[in-house]
Amino acid sequence: MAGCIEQMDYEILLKNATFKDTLRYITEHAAKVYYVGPGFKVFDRRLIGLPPVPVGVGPSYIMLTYVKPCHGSFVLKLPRDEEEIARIVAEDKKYNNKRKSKG
Amino acid sequence: MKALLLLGCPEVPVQTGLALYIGNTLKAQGFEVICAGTPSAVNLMKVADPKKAYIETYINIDKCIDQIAEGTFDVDLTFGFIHKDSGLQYLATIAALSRSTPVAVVFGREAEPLSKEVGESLDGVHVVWAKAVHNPLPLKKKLDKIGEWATLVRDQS
Repeated sequence: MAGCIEQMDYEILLKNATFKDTLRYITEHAAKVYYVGPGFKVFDRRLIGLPPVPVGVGPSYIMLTYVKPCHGSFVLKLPRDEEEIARIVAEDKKYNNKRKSKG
Repeated sequence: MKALLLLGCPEVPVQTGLALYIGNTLKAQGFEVICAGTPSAVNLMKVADPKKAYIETYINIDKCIDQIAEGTFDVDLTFGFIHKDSGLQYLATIAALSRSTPVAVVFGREAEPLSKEVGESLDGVHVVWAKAVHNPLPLKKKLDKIGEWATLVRDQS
């Protein structure tokens, strides 16, 4: 793992999966799911994957996908961070508006 | 014009040979060729091409995505070398951030279903695929049929 995530207290919820599996996992397990575009940074790490990329948020966590070229897609559970959540919520709104305007 | 070769995990033997072959073709057609990938994938290329006859510039894959996202770097064609789901995810990310035409070079044992998924998932992608693992020739033949790669560049301005 690289960037800030590497130094955080993360838990691996799903590993060596496909991106679709991680999308399903987050949708089914997170209290609330936001959608952002690929390349959006969470904890200083750019999210990789087919748009829209899900980010799960719960009372104590942020749940996100992490794609490794040789090992597939992972779902990581990270400690909740209010600043990051504010950015995710704002990006979700911006991203949805952009998608709607494209029709 | 610039082309990016986006290498995936190098566990399938045909990847390095095909990347060098495409790099050579692009260079001969006047493209500046940049290669990004995992450290192992990039090292295989560097060892096979010590005089940089085919690829002149290498860039870290995360740095590459960072620069495209920030608008400080872009290319005209992006070749994603795909033999597993993660390869599709990386090409999808570049396709969403870059103005370039995505070209998916799909190989490996799952090439057929994977190529269909790539075609259905990415707008405007050009897919070249063959069930090649050790022998790159079936894919080379298909790549040769493209001829001039510049014709795939969507933004010619």
